[in-house]
Amino acid sequence: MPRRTTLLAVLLTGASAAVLVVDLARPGLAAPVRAGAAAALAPVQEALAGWDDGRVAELTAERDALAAEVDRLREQAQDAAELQQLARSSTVAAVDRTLLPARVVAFAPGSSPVGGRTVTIDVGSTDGVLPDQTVVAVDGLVGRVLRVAPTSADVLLLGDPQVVVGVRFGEEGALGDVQADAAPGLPARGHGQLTLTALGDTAVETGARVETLGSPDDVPYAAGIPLGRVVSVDPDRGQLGRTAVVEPFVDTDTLDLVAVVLREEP
Amino acid sequence: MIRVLGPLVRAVLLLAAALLPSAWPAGLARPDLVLLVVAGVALLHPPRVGLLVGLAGGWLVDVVPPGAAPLGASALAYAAVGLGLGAVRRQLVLSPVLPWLATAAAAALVLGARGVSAAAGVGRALPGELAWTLGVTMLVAVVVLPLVMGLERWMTRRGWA
Repeated sequence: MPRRTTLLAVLLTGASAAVLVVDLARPGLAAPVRAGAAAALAPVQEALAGWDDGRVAELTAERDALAAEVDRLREQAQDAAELQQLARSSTVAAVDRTLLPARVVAFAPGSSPVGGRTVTIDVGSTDGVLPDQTVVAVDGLVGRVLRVAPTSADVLLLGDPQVVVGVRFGEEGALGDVQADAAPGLPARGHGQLTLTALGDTAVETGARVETLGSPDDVPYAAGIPLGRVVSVDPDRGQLGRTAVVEPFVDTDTLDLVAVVLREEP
Repeated sequence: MIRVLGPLVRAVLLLAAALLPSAWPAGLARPDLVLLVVAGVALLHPPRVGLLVGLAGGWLVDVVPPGAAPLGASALAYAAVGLGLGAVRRQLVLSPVLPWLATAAAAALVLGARGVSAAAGVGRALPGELAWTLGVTMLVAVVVLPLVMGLERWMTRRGWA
């Protein structure tokens, strides 16, 4: 009996190592495994996370939707003004978004050997969620959809090393990108803080507001979603492009109700 | 036939440990319950049992949504924890504090691996977060570890495991 257990242990360890290598080489190959686990376990996670269901969730969802609506209208007004000024309608994406409210039901494990920033939300492909859609909260950008299962979806959060967001910052809407990791040699970042790298020679000012730049068809990020505020500008140490520290508006550690930005069918 | 009951109970424990963090309030550091279950079993059995339980727990950490990437990395890390704790279990009977300390060392190693991989540019881990996770895990271990070990002893006496 012990011999058999030892043999089993050795075989399974070998198999795990093999899967690890395969997953590193072909990251998409394990998708059915994850989808199966999500389909089986997400309902349990939803039940476990749903301790304050009902009125509070409903009102919070309503408030989020209204705040998003205000953002949208402001955006529309700004777009209209800019359009008039520029008279170049083809450059600004039309703002036609629907928000699908969702609740965070699980966070990424805090002790896996590779630290990632992901959460699971309780809406999935049956609700119309697709990979690479933008996820927002009442204060601003949360991240993008990474994987979709029938009743749940995994969201890659702002602050994960894989997330790089094209942004506009400051009053003039200068271009740049925001990501979690700072280039070597820059001052250490605090908890949750991100690094803005300006494109070109634009000066970055403390207090500047950072918004998403947007991508074609809103994939993976819709345009004009508030992301954060510049809290300090890094000293010039010869890095390519000025860099600054951005404090995101959304605290990804305490996420609860979020919304997926769906594209309206034309 | 009765020997199937032990692995079954452990599987249920691991599944519960992997799913319970969903009920944990957002914003607080989450304890690593899976590691505590793996440690509780591994501290009482030969290394091969700890290795198998560690593999199973690690696989759950990897695939329970939102999961961890790359697939299999947590499985190998927790298997190493089970193997290590199983190997030193005879030296830990001198004092009831020693199993707790050994578990703390194992948790620190797992979190250390996360820190090192982040420092190497894979993934992201902040020292403060790692310290909080370790602190909360070991605080919860004061209650959970004796419970799991008690259950394991009870199952061993009844011939389940």
